Amino acid sequence: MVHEERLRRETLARVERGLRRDAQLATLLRQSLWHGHQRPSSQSQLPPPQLLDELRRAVVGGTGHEQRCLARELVECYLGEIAGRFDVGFYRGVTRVLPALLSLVLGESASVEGPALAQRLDIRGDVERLQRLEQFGTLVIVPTHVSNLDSALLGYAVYRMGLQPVLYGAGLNLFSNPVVGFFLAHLGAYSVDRQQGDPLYRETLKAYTVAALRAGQSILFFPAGTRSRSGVVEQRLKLGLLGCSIAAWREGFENGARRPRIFIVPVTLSYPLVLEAQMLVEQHLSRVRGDRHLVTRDESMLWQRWLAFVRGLSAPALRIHLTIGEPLDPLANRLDGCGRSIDPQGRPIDPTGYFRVAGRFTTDRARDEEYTRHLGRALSDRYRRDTVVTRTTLVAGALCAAAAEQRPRRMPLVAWLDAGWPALSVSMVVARLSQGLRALRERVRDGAVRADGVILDAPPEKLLQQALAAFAVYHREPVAERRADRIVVHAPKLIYYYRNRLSFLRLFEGDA
Amino acid sequence: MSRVSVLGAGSWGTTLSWLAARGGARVMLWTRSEAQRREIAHDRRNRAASAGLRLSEAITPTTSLADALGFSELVLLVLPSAAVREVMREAAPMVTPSHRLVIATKGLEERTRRRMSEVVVEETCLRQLAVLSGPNIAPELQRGLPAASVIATRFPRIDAELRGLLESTRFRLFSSPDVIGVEVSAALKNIVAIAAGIADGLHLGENARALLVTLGLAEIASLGLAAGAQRETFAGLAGIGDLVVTCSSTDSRSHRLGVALARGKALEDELSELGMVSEGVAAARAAREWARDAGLVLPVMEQVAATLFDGVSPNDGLESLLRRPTHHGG
Repeated sequence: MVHEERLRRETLARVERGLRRDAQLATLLRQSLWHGHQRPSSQSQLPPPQLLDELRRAVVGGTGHEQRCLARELVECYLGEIAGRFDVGFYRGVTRVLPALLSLVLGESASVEGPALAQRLDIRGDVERLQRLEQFGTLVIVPTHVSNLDSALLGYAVYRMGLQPVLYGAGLNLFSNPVVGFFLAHLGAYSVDRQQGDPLYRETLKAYTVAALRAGQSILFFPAGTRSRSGVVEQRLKLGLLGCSIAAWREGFENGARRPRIFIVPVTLSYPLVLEAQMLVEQHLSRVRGDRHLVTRDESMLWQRWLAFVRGLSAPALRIHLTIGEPLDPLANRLDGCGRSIDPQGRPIDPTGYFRVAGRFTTDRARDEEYTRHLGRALSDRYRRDTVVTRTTLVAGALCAAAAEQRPRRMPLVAWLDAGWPALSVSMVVARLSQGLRALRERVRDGAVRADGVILDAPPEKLLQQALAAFAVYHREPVAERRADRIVVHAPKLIYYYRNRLSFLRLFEGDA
Repeated sequence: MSRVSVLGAGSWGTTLSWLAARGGARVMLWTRSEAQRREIAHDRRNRAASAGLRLSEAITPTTSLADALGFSELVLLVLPSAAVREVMREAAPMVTPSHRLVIATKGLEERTRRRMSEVVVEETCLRQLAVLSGPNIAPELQRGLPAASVIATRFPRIDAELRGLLESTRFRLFSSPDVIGVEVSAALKNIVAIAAGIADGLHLGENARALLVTLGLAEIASLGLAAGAQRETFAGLAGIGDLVVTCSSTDSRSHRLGVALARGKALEDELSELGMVSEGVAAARAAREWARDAGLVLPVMEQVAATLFDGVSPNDGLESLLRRPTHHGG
């Protein structure tokens, strides 16, 4: 792990270099001031009131020097919030006791074969290749974001895959709990305040990220910025932090590194059950309705729910899938065994050409932004193809499709989910499921998604029964249950949420 | 002096080369046909593509893809859509990340229904891309009649280069950031043009054509929006602009194909008689499957596909369009 103090100094120097170029310093500070006043209810207390007062004075009558000093102070203050406090000893200690700790929490059943969470985590993809690439360069690990459990799971996965500790971008809200915050920071997490609109904050965050990458420190962040509320595999990625990998790559070339070697690693998480599904879908529907106040009760912040969740996972046949996607260069080119960029036919290419005009490196913001968009599109595509189909998502799709047949015309989605569904006949659901399975086999063959034989070849009745059992193990209120030849859906919204994960596959006819 | 390579010496490729040369650029024009190369090199003509045009010495014809791609890092792609993947695969070892590619091909790949920019990215390391599209009938431009086109790209540099290369008071370029919208419009307009040609061949009148063009535009937009396009694009030069020209001009191949179908000719006969590729046929097949997968109902495009591929008579196809309910929720 790169030295934290060095990273701070380098970040500060970078932002200052940018400020020197910026003739509109007063305008920039005015924006900081405005944003500072906009956020009394936010998690962050930054910037502190007395700094805001000084800012107010400086933007009106301050000299250039005063404004520069204040800008520096502001950046330092943001940096203090962003930067983690990675502690090698702490990391080693925690990773050593973590398995034992989990066993303890989970009771004796887990201790024999290791913690349930570890057993239930199915890591697929070329881990060895990742370990090799790590020797050659810097990893930018970009996972899908489903749940607040992701961070813990990914931290554990990085450790279990035998990778070096990564610098870890986590939402500021996770730091609000002092205990969690302490753990996060000391394990290499830095905070990302998504609500902070101050351009200077964003510059600082980006400078910190680029500095880390330039120093060869592998990082992990969620490019979607937030958990998928609807449950769909995210298709709109935030480009700010993704763009840092392109910036660091370009800088590396400019400074003469022949191969600065930055590797983008898409990681896709597929959960059979989602810790805070209820809250996520409620928030999603709130947004669809256009509510002004969003639901804020977050199950993932209650440790009892975590316990229930992990216990739930110990039910047979439930596994969380973590797919390590094929690593790419920052322009979404594939890589050869030594981490060189190659074209689609496997020939090495010289990526410096992306940044050169007539042989010379050029700065072109619009160009680099479009490169970032390209990377974003490539990642979205990978996320879909690397998604692993679970019984619950598939069965939820069939239930939704069966229920949709009885949806009154022109009834808005939200109303339909609110109204409660009439009981569904088992035979109809099974028919839908068979149809979905047929379509799924085709999609898997085309490489549009991943699914295991235990699902593809299972009799639909069995899948249905397993999925209903799975829903029952974690969710507090019953989600759906079988009564003789009927299926009663108690929680259409949850079914809808789980169904959305696979909606991109359009497995079920007439279900738009 | 600016340089450009043009891949494809058809009517539009030759016209673009001529425009660039007239603007003072040096052009290398690539064609597969040795006879065509010789004709351009010696007679300064390209009769098959654009009979009346005299091509200046600034245009160097070649049959070597490597020469063409080595000549300039700015490349115009003006091939039929069916040839794009193959040529790009062949070009892959010769292009570098600093090449800029302007796609002037209008069409979708039939089998995969990919947009041309997607095919290029799948086959090469190229990332700096732009799309050129608009109501541009080549013979009119050759006669010096005024026209305009859309250059869709997120790369300001390509935008500037292309303006420097092609723009004049007779040929204006408008910028758009919506690559997807421009590509989708360009590809799908030909299907609507076939429908318009059928209506014209059946002598249904101007009202009927306007009806088909309007419905067709809505269908193009609904597929485009599903692919991530911006709505404004369809109301612009590359959307409605190109559609109107393609649906009314007798120079449009798709329109001519429609007229011929209405007169009872079989598709295969007509295509061989036209002696040209019709992007509309490939697009119709691609759009049909695309709409099916996207869960969209597109009656005009569906009827064109039914006429082309299912042996439905042009008359019946239009009839069933007219029988559709016209009120919402019917």
